[in-house]
Amino acid sequence: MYIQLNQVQKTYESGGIPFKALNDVSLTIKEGQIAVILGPSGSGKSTLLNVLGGIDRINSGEIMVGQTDINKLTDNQLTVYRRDKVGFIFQFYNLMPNLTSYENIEVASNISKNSLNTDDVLEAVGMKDMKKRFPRELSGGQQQRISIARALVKNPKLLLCDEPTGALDFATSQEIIKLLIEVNQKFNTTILIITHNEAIAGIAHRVIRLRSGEIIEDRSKSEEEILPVERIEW
Amino acid sequence: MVMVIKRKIIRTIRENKSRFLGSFLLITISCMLFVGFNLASGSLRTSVDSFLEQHTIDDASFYVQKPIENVAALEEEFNVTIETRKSYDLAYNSNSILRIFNETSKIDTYSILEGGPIERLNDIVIDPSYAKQHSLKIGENTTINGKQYRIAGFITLPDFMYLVKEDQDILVNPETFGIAVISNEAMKDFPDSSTFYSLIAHDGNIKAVKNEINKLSTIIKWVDQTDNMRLTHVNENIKSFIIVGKILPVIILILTCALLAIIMWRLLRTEYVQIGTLYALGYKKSEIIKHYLSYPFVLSISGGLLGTSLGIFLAKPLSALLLFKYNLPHIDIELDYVYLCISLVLPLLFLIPTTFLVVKMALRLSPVTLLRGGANKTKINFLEKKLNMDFFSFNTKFKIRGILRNITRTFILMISITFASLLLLFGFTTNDSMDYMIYDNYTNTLKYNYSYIFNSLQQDRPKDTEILSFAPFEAKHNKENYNFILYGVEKDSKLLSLRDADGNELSKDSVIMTSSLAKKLDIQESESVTLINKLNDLTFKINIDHISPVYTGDIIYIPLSMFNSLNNYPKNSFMEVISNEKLETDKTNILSFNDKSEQIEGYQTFVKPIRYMVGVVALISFVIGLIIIYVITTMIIEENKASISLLKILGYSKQKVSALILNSNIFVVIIGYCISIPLINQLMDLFFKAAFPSMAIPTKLEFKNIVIGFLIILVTYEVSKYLSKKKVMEISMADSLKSRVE
Repeated sequence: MYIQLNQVQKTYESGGIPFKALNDVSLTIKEGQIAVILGPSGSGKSTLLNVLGGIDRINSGEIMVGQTDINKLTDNQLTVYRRDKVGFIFQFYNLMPNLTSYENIEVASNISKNSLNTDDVLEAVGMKDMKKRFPRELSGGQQQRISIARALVKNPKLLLCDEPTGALDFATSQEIIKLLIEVNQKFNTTILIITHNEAIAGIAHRVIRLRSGEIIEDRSKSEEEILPVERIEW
Repeated sequence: MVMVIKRKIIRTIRENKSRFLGSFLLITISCMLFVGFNLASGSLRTSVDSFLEQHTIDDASFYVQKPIENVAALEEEFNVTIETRKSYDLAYNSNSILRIFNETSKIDTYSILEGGPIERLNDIVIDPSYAKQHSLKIGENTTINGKQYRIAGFITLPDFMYLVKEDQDILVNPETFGIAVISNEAMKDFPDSSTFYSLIAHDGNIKAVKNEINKLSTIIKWVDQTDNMRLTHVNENIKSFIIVGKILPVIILILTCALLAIIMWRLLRTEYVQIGTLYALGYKKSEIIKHYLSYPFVLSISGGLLGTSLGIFLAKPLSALLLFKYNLPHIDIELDYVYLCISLVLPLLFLIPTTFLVVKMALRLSPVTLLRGGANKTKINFLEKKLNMDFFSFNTKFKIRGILRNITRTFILMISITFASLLLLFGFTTNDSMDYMIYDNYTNTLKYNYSYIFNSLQQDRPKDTEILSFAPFEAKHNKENYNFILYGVEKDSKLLSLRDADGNELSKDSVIMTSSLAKKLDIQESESVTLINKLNDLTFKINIDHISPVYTGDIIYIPLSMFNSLNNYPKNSFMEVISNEKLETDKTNILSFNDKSEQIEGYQTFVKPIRYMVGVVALISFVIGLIIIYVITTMIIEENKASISLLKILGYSKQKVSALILNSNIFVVIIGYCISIPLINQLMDLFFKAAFPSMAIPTKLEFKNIVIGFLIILVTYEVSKYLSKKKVMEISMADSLKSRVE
């Protein structure tokens, strides 16, 4: 198993009242799988993504990524983990507004040990012609492609996508999902997608459903059950 | 490896240029002033010191009752050099005196500023200010005492750099007074000239030779180098330059720190999501901090480089500003690399730690919180919660909330207004204080028009005059010597008015000390003080009856009879007469003559450049005020984008929105200005004492100028509001409502 969560607990305090964002969550994901995590707002999806990405810590439990229990890493080790092992894709792209597309990708490649060639990655996401453009000169879909390129350039083992199509129209969303599938197939990258959108679950190897911080469904799909991107719609 | 995110620095600065330009300009101004003042004062110091050394400044000069007969013997016995000097006050025309000296060879030799030295019997060299005022040109002839003299050159004397006519004069006026030097041979044409001596003690022991001179011939006037106003005034002014050059830039830098801290805080808040993303991408905290430190680094280096370069150019006009009233040798501005380096490093020293603290505080937030754009975007503080604003109108409530919501920003705005006001009032206070000192002195205290100082003790009082005597004294306090003049005045003097703090006339049949001296010696009324006569070391103790806040200098006034008796002078003898009418007296007895109207006229000439200086300082304070208010107002607009947009959607007119957002700071402006008024009084008091310890300058600020100062600050505020108004108008209703941050 590439990812293994054992009895993970994460509690936040809001106005002095404790709130369980993840309650005894245990799950495993194999290397090279695409897992879609579904659930309503406040169900703990983003928290799950954050603790897996090493940008938040859990209160108890164990998170194994590869052979490493990331909860036992120091802050500096966590930074190295994020730098070398994880790629993030955000709903609102989170690009640096005053850097060009190319430079936004360089932001990641600059600090990565095994980075891919920026031009190759730009080509892979279909944005080679847009490399000199600033984010404000790009459409939402194009910005998300750059965001994906930024995540990919580090050649990460794990790609964490937080509502990657949440701000996009249907056609663009389809293109982005297709791109993620291609990445998964080409680089054998393990991809976790959190979304509200049930339709996206169609393309996943695994579907995990959360409610109030607990897993209420964890389903592996057979190859036949996985839909090609052209067949998903909403 | 150059981090790619560094490319965003210049772009971010360009996008927020008004804010960063403000900090950049403040850094530039501060480095410019630092370099300008320090290069100017350093070069002046070096030039003056080398001039004094090369032209052998005296250790002391003195007048004696009868000429010293064997100077050579004295020189040998006491290891001193003494040069006999002559001076003659020539009425060059109806309203000006040209003091002519003989040419010296060992001490206080003249330095040629332009033209050549004295080569012929009828050559004369003149100080350039007097020459300019009286259209005297090198190579031309001028008639003196019916004889033609060729103007060979323009000169300065080391013991006469500040060209005041009398020792007690404060102001120079080249229209009415100047100096010249002629050959010793030519000086013989002036048999009425006064004789005095300049002395250098090679082993530093002046006391022994002074005692001996006193035995040979009574000393009637003795001026140590440290008491020579014509020299010390220059030193004091250079000192004040150094003080201003050290303090002013540092204050501006502190303000810049505060301003940049707000700007960076604001920038960080808008970039929380980006910082969170960088964390998520695997950037270390130290790399992110380093990135944000690049902002002050870029600003400090660019502002420092520009300011330092401008400062080099500013040094020359600044030294000229100091030079205008002095007759100094040519000053070449020396590039002191220590100051240039400090100027480049100083902004970094101030701004990097400030920004580091701000960034460190912002980065205390977790990556998750940063990715969400920060927590609690709009905090309601204690004051805002507690203040009951129910009875206020909506407009007032909105404005008060604007002020209270960001106390730090409001505080910095207030401090900035106070600083800009202080700069402005610095000029006004200098002007008003000098005005007050001069006019109080000449109209309320010294009620005579003319004074005549004799070169020996006199017994026959001229008709319709009042008589006085004086001698230089010193007193010790806390192991330090303080010099002052002891005056003997007539008990029923009408021409000298000494008053107490309430303005009541004090009886001159008592011992009265000026308050400036009382402060230095820490003396209260009814306390006694031990005095040492600097001419003959005679020591005695007197009781101080009254302390008078007159600004005549460091003086003790005692009855003339008491003065003569304490100093063992003949009864009814005197050295000075004062009168409202000009006297017809024998010129040979007169050491110096003083005309009050000349002094007042001289003051008018003297204050002209001060008034320019007030104008320049007002302009600088206007610019600084404008920068800070504009930057802060811009940030207020940025922070209130959503509210502005919403108000517009709700149907508020653009003018109404502008008024709501921009007018709230008027309270802060008023408070900031009000704070500066008592503060300037205290600061100027300290400044005058530090910069001009020998002049008891009172601190005064006219109400008229308080109002003018306020109007200037108000105009600054209105201009920055006008500039910001455009920004409010530009905010689109849709765009700001879409904004995710704030």
